[in-house]
Amino acid sequence: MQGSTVDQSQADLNFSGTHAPTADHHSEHPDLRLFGFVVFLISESMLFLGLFVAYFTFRLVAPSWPPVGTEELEILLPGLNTVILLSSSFVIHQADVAVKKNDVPNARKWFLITMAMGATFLAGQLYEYNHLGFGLKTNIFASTFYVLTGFHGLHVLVGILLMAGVLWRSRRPGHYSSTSHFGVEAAEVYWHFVDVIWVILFFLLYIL
Amino acid sequence: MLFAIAFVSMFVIGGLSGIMVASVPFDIHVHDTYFIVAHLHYVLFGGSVFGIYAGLYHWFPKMTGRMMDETWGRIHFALTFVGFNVTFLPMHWLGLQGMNRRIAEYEPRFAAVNLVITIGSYILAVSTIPFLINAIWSWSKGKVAGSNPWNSLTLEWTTPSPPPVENFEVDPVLTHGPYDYGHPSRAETDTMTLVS
Amino acid sequence: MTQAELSDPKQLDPVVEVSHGQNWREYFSFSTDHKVIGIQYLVTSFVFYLIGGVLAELVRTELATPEVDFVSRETYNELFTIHATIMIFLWIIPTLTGGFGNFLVPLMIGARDMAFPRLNAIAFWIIPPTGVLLMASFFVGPASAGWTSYPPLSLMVNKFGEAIWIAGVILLGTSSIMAGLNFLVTILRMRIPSMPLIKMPLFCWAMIATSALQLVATPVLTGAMVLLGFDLLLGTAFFNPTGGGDPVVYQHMFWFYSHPAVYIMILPAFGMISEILPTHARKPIFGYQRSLILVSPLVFWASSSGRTTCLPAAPQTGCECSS
Repeated sequence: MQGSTVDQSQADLNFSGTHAPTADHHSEHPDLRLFGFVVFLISESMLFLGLFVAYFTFRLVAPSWPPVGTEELEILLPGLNTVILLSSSFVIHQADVAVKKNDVPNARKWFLITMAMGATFLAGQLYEYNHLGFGLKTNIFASTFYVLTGFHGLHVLVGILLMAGVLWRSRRPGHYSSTSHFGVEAAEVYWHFVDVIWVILFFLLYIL
Repeated sequence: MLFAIAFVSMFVIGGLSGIMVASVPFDIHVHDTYFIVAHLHYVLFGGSVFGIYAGLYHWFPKMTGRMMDETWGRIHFALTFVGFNVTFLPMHWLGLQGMNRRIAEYEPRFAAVNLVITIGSYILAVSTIPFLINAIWSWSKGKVAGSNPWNSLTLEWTTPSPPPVENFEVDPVLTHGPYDYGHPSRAETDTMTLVS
Repeated sequence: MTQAELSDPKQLDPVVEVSHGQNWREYFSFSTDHKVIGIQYLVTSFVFYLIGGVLAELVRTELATPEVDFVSRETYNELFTIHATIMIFLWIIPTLTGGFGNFLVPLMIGARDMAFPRLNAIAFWIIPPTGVLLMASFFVGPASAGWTSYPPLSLMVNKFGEAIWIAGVILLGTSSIMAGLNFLVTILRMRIPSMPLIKMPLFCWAMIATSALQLVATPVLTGAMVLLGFDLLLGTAFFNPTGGGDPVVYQHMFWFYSHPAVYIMILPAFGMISEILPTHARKPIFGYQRSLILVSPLVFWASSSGRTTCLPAAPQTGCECSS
């Protein structure tokens, strides 16, 4: 009881003294969404890490990898895809730079280009799926290949949808500005994340 | 000051969760028998569920603004404690003697102990009834608790019970460590002294 | 009967004397108030505790005699599988992290609410439908391969129920990740300025460790469940040796989650005990800093190797009991 009264008076003192977030008692906490989003991505990367490790284990256990009779993976198209996806990371960064200069129209332009590049990547993936010599159930290699790339493709799709959402919101002037641009930043961070995952995937599946 | 909802029970419960954890190393030796069942229930039930009950009794005043009834609490604790040990303690013996888990039938030599376990589990089931009665009755008709019935030092007790929508009228300021009980400098001076 | 009993207190309007208390209807709404959500968690998971308890009693009734007489072998398997699943995923974890964590963490650190109130509400509202879904699987024959659901057994019996089980675990895992994310951000970033980490109540420390474990370990379980679901529904062979797969991979992925999960289930309880004991003993806690040192490596130890994890826990409990 005593402790609590001491608390109260002390609280009043401190409240008027140091930082005074206006008279109403509703002190706004700083924007934690980006921090939260990054924590979420860490968690998300654990999902991929789990799948990567599973892939490695299957690979180590298998007598030959890829199993005998599996068609060799074509490297040209995925390579091209990798270049597209990687360069799109730089493009989306331009959007971030633009929005921080309060230049929303330009940010929208960069977003559109990134979306187009992402869509190209997905189209390339689908083309590859259609022309591969194995299906989901052919063997363990094929299964892991489809699950890993499929999961990643899903993330690319989500990234594109995120950007579409940001674009949709940004049509209202003033929604994003140099001070308030969580959506833009989140989409950018997410896109970089998808990129990094793809680089690891590409290395694991095609090169190694 | 209303001192405790069975402070003793709490202490026993706290000690209990220690015993649970200490039982971990054994389970390496008795794979897939009832010893595992006993062990995991000691950890999860003895540790977590007893902890949950302790937490419920402790923070019930904060959540509802009412105290829970101590007599019913003691009955609940006694029944749970007895039921829990009658149920899960004999499982250790079953496990050491080789009764397999996850199988619906077993050798007749285990029958007597299993019957005891089943009876214990019924006691355990019955033990939730006093708790439910207590919770429901106290929620509407219990003694009004006030903001800090336990005279506790952590921040949640500095706000009314139940707390208002935005929790605190003004942002609280910490003047003492969370566990500065009996510390001479606590009430008089506001200097923060950390107990180490 | 138990359900009716449980919903009674809400109709009696629990907070008559306090003007700013919540209306009972709020407990059935999509409230974003962490205290309402906390109580929603507690009541909901207590209902599931009672349901899981009934299942346990059925199991014990069967075991009262050596013969198979009360329920069939198949039903017995289904009963203990769903019993374990409910007790772990719908009772202990939601109560300790969701219930107590939600109610206490913001109050203990002097925050107005959680960092992401809406996410919090979503995380809660995933739980009741999932629980109902799991229970509903009794109509089609629920999962019956134990709560670990090891393949190949889990791929052979009660496939429909197994699919529901997988979906349920993924959903509950998602909810748990959301909650963990929320707690971590809240505790790290929303403490009042006068509370450095080192002056936090131990319960909050326990919640940090728990949330970190949830965030790191649960996605791997989700991964395992996805692969298991592929095996079950699409006929892949991730965990089927004849197709080049390896059931041991499932076990590794599963226990990557479940070893730390023991700590998810016990650490908040330790935290609560270390709040309750000093309060009632009127004594400062012994070895606050040492407890912290023990809590933090727990995160890593628990993740890396299961068997060594019993080491840090024992002295920690020792610290707490001696206060």
